[in-house]
This record gives sequence, C-alpha cells and structure tokens, in this order.
Amino acid sequence: MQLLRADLQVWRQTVMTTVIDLWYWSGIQAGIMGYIMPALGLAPGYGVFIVAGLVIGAGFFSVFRMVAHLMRDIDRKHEIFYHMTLPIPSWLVLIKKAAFIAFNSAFLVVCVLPMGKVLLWYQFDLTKVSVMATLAMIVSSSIFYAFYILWLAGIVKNSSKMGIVWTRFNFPLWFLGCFQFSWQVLHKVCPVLAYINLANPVTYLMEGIRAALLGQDGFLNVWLCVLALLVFSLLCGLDGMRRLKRKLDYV
Amino acid sequence: MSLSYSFYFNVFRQLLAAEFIVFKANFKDKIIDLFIWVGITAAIMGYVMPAFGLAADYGVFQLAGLVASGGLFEVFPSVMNLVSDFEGDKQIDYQLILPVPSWLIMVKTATFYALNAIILGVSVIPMGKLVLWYQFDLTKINIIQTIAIIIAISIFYGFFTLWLASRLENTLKIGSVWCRVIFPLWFLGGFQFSWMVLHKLFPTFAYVNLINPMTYIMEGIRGALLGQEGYLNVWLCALALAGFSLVFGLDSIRRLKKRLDYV
Repeated sequence: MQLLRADLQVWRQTVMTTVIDLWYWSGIQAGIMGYIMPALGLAPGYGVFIVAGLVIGAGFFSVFRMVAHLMRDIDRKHEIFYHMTLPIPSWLVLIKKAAFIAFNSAFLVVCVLPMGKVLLWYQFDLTKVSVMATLAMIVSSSIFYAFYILWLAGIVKNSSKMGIVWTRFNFPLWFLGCFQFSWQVLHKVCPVLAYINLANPVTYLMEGIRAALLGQDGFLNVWLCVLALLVFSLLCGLDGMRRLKRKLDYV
Repeated sequence: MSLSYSFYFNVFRQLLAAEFIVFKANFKDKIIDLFIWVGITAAIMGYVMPAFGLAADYGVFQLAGLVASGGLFEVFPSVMNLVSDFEGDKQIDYQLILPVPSWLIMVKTATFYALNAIILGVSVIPMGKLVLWYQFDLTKINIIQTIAIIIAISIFYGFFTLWLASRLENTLKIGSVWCRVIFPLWFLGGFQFSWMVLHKLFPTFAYVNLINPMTYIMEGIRGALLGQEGYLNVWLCALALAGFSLVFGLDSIRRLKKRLDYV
C-alpha cells in the first residue's frame, strides 16, 4: 500500500501532461473520423465507432511510456532493485507495479469517454451505453494492460531496443486488432485472418468496448471479451514474471 | 577561397560518412520495422476498409501518404538522439570546434536526416507495390515530379528535426513532441483525406491547413505518384516545402547557436 502510494505521488505530477497529450491524440482522430472521413464513403456513425476504440486505446497509449520507464529503471538498477530488498515477497513488488499501471490505464480510459461525447455530441448516443459492461471492460482492459506491460518489459533486452515495442508489438496488435474495422467485417472479407485475429488480445479490447458503448449488435459478445482479456492477462502475467525473475535475478 | 570551400566540402563529406556508418548498423532493423508498418497499413486500407465504404483505390491513396511519412517516423527518434546528445555526451561540441563554419555542422546534421528520409521514403514504394499489386498502377507515376517532391520532403524533414531539437528543452518532454506537434500536423495535414475533400467540407479549415507543411507533403506526393487530378499542384508543393525548410533551417540555426553557445 505504501509503495503504491509513493508511485501515485510521482504520477500526480505528470498526469495532467499525459491527459492533455491523450486528448490531442484522441480528439484529432475522433474529429477527423467523425466529420471528414464520412465524406470519403465511411458510414456517418464511423466517428463513434472509432471513439469507442480510442476510449479503450487510451490505456494502450501509455504502454510505450510505461515500458520505457520500467526499462530505464531496470537498466540503471534503481527503484525496482531497492524494492526487491524489502522484506516482502519479490513477486509482490511486480504485482504492485501492475496495480499501479492498471490504475493509470483505467484513469486514462475514463478521461477519453467525456471528450468523445463532447466532440461528437449528437452522434454519440449515451442511452446505448451498458454501464455494467463498460465498467467490466475498463477493469479487465486495465488488468490486461498492466500485465502486458510487465510482459513487454520481460521481453525487451534493454532500453536501446525499445523501438521494437511499438513497431513489432503494439502497432501490429493495434492495427490488425480491429481498431478501424469490426471483427465481423474482417470475417466477411478474410475469414482466415479473422480467426487468426482471435489470438490477438486487442481484438477483444476493441470488440468488447464497442459492444459495451454502442450496443451488442455487430460485435463479439462483451462478456466473452472480458473473459478472454482475463485469460490473456493471466498468460502475460505468468510469463512476464518468469522472464523478469530471470532478468532481475531475484528469488 | 576555392581551397577553403573544397576543405569545407571534404569535412562535410567525412562527417556525413561517419553518420552513415552508424546508420548502416541499424539499417536492417529500420527496414523491417518500416515493412511491418507499411505492409499492415496498406493491406488494411487496400483490402479491408473498402468493405466499410471507402473507395476501392483508397489503399493506393493511403500508400502515397505512407511514402511521404516514411521519413516523418524518423523525426521522433532523431530529435530524441539530438537532444540526448545536447544534454549528455555533447558529441556535437567536438564537431563545432572543427575548422569549418558552425552552421555547416547544423546543415550536415540536417542533410544526414534528409538522406535518411529519402532512403526510407523510396523503400516504401516497392513495399507498397508488393502489398497492393494490381491496385498500384506504376504507369501513373511521374518520375521527375516524384524525385523532386521526395527531395523537397526529405530536406524539410531534415530541418524540421533540427528545429524541433532546438525547441525541446529536455528529453523528459519528448513525449509531447509526438502528441502535440508531429501527430497533429501529420493527421490534420491530410494523411487520410485530400485537401480538396477538406475544402468541400470545411473551406475555412482547409485554408488554415495551408500553413501546415504536411498538407504540401501529402498533396505533393499524391500528385506525383497517383496523377495530378484532385490534388494541389506538385511544383507548388515543392516550392512551399522549400520555403518551410528555409524558415525552419534559419530559425533552428539561430536557436541552436544560442543553446549550444557557438559562434
């Protein structure tokens, strides 16, 4: 609890900058997709479709930054090594890290939702939002992001190899994971790729949040998505801890 | 006089060659990363998004934007490297004590980034052809215009990188460079739509967007690769980019002169 509080104190100093950056990033995309892209042939509701993806993508937005921070810490043998010397199980230090990242992700996700409504106003019908399903998606996505970040920190050799996090993990998962299209459309266009894409956790992030915010019709079942994300979290968590155990050489 | 120019040119060339030794070591990784990015984006836009209502040739339209963006994606890491150097190793100080004008060192740095952008931008064209095959009609390419616009775009990226590095206080603020400068310019500058479409929908915004250099980058490369119809004139775009390069170049040299305290 004390370690988590210490993390949150540092977090408070930078969170406003992160939120402003996030608003730039998501606001511009929502505006273009909502007001310009329909003139190129996309459905008028495409802006809202993208906003739903941006809401859940807010957590993804901080993945690179979080992994970079963690890698810098590991490379320079700073904070995390000090925490490992405390009289608590070493895995608890990593769980604390994951809890902090999950909190940060949930916070960012919640920040994008009202911005999407303000930007798209009449296009974004709040009566379609299922509060329970949205909460479940926010919680499960935040848990997933936390363990995905730990896993990436276990995979990447050192800070100088950080570039691969974006180009070889985040971007392909994000762009192939139904950010700009739904799984049903992909299934119609290329069924094989659609089935392969079921092994991509971002597919469940995107489909789940769209079903929760825009209604279930046309998307994968939201509760199936929540379940899938928890399974991916478990896998990333277990493998991430195994890798970090070897990397940090703790017992 | 001519002797000193030839000496300057030799130093310039040697420094540039030294930069390329480091570049060569990372070249394979850069190309793989570029291929992943271009391949996925072009395939999704070319084969999946038309099922969402976009025109059948939208993949090619987007590919032209990717050719122009190949160099843009080097801007962020390059700014990071430059500012880290200003804060840490200060390798640039060694170059600034060489017996050549200090501005030449800045021009050398911008030239290296420009050449980098040319290599990456040109690499996107065969990658795009491989992914989109029949959709990408190579006969529509105007080679002279393509060469001219790629050079103009790359020179702009070179000086833009220098300018961003001159404005960024420290590496801690690097994240904001992407979110508040590069991304808005890129995304609002017509990466996913043409200026004409924007002009039909929001004429005022379209005219405001004429002060965004990315507008000329996107329109120029599309005019050169896909045919002039529907885009701003390629030569006008090349001229505008030369103007932006000059402004960014002069301002960055002035700012870096103050920051690095050289004469």
